[in-house]
Amino acid sequence: MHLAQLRLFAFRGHQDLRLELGPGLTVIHGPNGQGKTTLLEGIAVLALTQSPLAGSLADCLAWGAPAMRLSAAVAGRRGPVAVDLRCDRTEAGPVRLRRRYRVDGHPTAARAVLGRLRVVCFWPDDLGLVKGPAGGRRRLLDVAISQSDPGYAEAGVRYRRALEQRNAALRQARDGGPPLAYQAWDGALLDSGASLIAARADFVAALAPLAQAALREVGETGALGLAYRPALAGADARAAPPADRAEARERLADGLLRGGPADRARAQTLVGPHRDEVEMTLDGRPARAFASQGQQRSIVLAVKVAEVRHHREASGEEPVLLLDDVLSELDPERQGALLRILAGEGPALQTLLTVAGEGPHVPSGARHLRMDGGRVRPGTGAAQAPP
Amino acid sequence: MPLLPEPLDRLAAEFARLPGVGPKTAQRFALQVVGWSVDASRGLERALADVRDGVGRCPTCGFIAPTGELCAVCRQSGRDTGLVCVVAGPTDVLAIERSGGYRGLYHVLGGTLSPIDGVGPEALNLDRLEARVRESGVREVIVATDADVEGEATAAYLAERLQPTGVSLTRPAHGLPVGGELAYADERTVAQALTGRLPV
Ligand SMILES: [Zn+2]
Repeated sequence: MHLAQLRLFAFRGHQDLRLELGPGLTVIHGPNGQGKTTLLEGIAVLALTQSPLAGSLADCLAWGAPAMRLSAAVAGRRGPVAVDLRCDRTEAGPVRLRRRYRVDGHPTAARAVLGRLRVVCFWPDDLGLVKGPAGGRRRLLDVAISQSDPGYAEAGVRYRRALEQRNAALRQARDGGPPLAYQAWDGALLDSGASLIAARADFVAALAPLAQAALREVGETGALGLAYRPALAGADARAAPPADRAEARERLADGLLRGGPADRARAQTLVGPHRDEVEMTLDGRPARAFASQGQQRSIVLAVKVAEVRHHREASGEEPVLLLDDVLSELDPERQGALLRILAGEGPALQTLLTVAGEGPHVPSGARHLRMDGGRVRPGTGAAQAPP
Repeated sequence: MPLLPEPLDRLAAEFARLPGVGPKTAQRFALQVVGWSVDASRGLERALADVRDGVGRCPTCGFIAPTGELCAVCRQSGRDTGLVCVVAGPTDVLAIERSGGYRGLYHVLGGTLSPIDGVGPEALNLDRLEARVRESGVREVIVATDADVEGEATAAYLAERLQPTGVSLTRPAHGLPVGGELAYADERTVAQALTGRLPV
């Protein structure tokens, strides 16, 4: 699939941005602060129904605006689809939004939007994926899986809600409230948590060989291992992935039961998917400690390429790849390797690449856009001698 | 200097206490009242006072009832007194009664568990329910709280609490939309949900 048209209205700095796009590589040039990242963020919001860069979608509403609107025309295997999100600010108090999604003009729930536009995002922060906190690795799973499995996103919402309630009940128990009322939340936590764990186990198992192959293409010789380590067994102990959802539920139930005293002592839930880890190894040793910074970056590239290929395998369609100013962070070898791999993915893969300043050398055949003062026009903006 | 006279702001503030009414809507309501006849405003005053003085909770089930009296459902003859359907609020009772298929009694909890909002078990009408089950020959309790996380947790807590009484505990098997509110479900959905029941 590819994004054919995009409109961002009152979305952060974009008052009313309209853009026509095609498959293949599009390079978006422009100085920093002109809304290049925001453009990619808007696309991601339409795909994910939340912003991967903001804690709350309310942060994306242009200052003082009563409403924002994001629309996309997506060209896919099954014909064109129009996806539209309108967010109205609620009347009073702090900024909160009332969201209304439409697909082909029909009002729908957020879950029905997921999968209409599939994206793989690559932000500069992702380069710290290997060494950074586990939350970043969990987010990678959540972003990828929720786009191919709407039930996953729904389970995630229920899980977070049940977790928040259970933790609040644990705090109340500590402060003299009913000591065991927190257990009422275990059922909801188990049902949603088991779905998350099972889906994550399947996803990592499918992604691992793709990432291993991609790492070689990036030019590394080491063997990359990706292993899902669900937090099923008490404080900080991470276990082998379960075979299926039933096993996940059983082991999570056991972990919650055994973890009860620790949860009460700390007044928070210490077991469950919110503490999962994705273990990354290079030649069998933890990559976060033993891989060089260059190798770690290669691993991130390999994982992102694997994510693209996984979407293709799972859905039979190309995702849209959003590369936010990533090339400038890479050395020339890895820049070259990434561009070579992307070119090898074929002309149907739509890649939107933002570049600040002169930017790296990109292959001929790419389309160039220049973003300046909130406007987009063709060209790189660099002084160009006529041919 | 404020643009509007003080009594109007005060009336708007009163309207804004209603659920779903923000300050702008409240102000629109208040502006509507300007120019009302004496009869119209007295009518509203009287209706408010009558509800305040004459309407309360049913001492048995917690549904809306004339002050100090049983509610219409508890008073009605021919109801199956061995069957009690537990719901979060009075609007759920209205929805189930509209569906016309239910002949048992109710118990209104007055909310669902939500520790993040400070609502623990003690804030719900649970002691009365337990007493009812122990004392008045209830054979089945249908827990018809919503299928959202709070409704499920409330059902789980109730099951734990009522388990020692030996009463049969059931939950509507299907039909209630996940996270949807019983009060907004259509009549056939409500009727279907209450016929198929599973043990909690
Ligand atoms: Zn009653």
